[in-house]
Amino acid sequence: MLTIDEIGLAAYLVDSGRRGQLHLGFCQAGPLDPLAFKLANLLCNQPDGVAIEFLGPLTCTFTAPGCISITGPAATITLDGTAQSGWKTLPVDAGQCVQIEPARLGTKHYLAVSGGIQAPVVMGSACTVRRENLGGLQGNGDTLKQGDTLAQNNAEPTLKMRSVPDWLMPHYQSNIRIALVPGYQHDWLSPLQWRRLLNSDYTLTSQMDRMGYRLSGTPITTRQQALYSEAVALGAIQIPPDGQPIVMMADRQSLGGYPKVGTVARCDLNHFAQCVPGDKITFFQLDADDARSKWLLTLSAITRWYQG
Amino acid sequence: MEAFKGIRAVEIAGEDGLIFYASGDSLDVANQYITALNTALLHAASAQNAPPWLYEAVPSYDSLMIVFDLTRIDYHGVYQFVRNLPVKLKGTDAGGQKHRLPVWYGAPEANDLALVSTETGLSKNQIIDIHQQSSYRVYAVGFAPGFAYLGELDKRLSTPRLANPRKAVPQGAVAIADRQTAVYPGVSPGGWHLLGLCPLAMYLPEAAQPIRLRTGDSVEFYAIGEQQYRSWPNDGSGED
Repeated sequence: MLTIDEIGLAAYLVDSGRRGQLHLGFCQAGPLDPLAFKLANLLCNQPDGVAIEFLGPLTCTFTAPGCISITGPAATITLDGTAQSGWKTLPVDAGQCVQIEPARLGTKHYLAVSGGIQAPVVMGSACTVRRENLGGLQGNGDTLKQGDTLAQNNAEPTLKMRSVPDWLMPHYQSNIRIALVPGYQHDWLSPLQWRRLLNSDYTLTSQMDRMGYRLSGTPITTRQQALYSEAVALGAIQIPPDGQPIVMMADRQSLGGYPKVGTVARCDLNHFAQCVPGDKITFFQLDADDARSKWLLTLSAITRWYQG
Repeated sequence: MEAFKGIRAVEIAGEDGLIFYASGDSLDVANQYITALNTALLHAASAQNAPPWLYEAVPSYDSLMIVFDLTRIDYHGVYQFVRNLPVKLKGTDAGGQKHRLPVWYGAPEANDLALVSTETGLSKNQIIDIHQQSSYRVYAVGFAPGFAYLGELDKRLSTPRLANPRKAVPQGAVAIADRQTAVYPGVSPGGWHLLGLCPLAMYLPEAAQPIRLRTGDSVEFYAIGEQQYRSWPNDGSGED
């Protein structure tokens, strides 16, 4: 069990999200940085589990012994005032207090506990979806607040202490190149418009949330705008009439009527998700076969480390 | 990717997604094909040798997006699988359920009849009559849990969206916009014109089938009075 002592910006429960509910109008949900979330759980010896996604500082106190892990971009972590590292299994005792102070405001961090946090499963997930009033500790979409007490499921008594090796660690940067997999209405862009999209710097605006991230930069025009609403994939890059791309994230609506030029490749989605307003993004083209191979390599590297 | 029978285009939707676009002279024909293709896919998915890679099948208007487990298959394999599906266009409505939904037209909490009357030049009674005369098809479910896009609305009732969207449209509001109509499953912001209230829940969180309307279903509306609306059974059942 743990108690939330202080929340800087926001903290809420996530698991790996919903599957097979999009056609009913429910969003996919899930962590914004799926790789950091997955590794946080693996560090606690579990393939999946409910964890905390948080922005800004977080302080909590444990009321029972167990193991935890903290992943995400750079952060100062202390346990009862003693400095600790992220990306490794941390044993904690009852009464100990962990404090996490992210280096940059707005990045997403994960706190996983061995056994996973207990939370009701609604529509196949415990993810907090405020827009739908679903998920979270009470199942009603509320985010965590100071004083909340979280129970965890029973975990194996003997936990392997692990740490994520450097070769598996994501390297988060504030100026990043993001792989774009052309798709959807990609041929509604003229060759000139494609060059503009791939040769311009885009800046992440403050209009960003778990639904989508709006960019600003060279406007892109599409040959047409009229489109029947259709399913929006994770990471889809929409081009609304003002030509400023919007990347659709975990809590995006299931259908949308803006043209889309493609998607952010899975291998870069975690880096993209960790951008904060003002960060610079450039896109490069990667075809679906190469993007799939790249992600499969990452997945097999994770398996090799976890089982090795 | 090559088009094939019933499908005019296939596009990548991420490294783990494909989207199929139906051909057809009208939206109705295209949506019927999408519904039939989705039914064939779901039928295959419930068979003994179900494809273990199928994560999502999302039909909408003239398209069907499939999301797959990229550790088990790539888009080439999914394309071949879908191309070989036995699609049955039996009758005109393969796979759809029929619904009749009661509406208290002009309910004070959801009444833009005067505005619609100004914009269309029709009387309030004409608006209410015309809205009940069509059988609508569920072209898509999305935007919010259980929100079904129904079409096509009679041309005479076609109105643009509100200049200032409402912050909170009440649950059950029956609304129109362009050539579409819908019932709001829950309180939400919205820019459609409201005609009245439907007492039936569109979204039942606890039910085995939590969503009433599915893509490919057909819907008719019929008028009820305030008395009937207020005394409607509150158990979420009650389509006649």
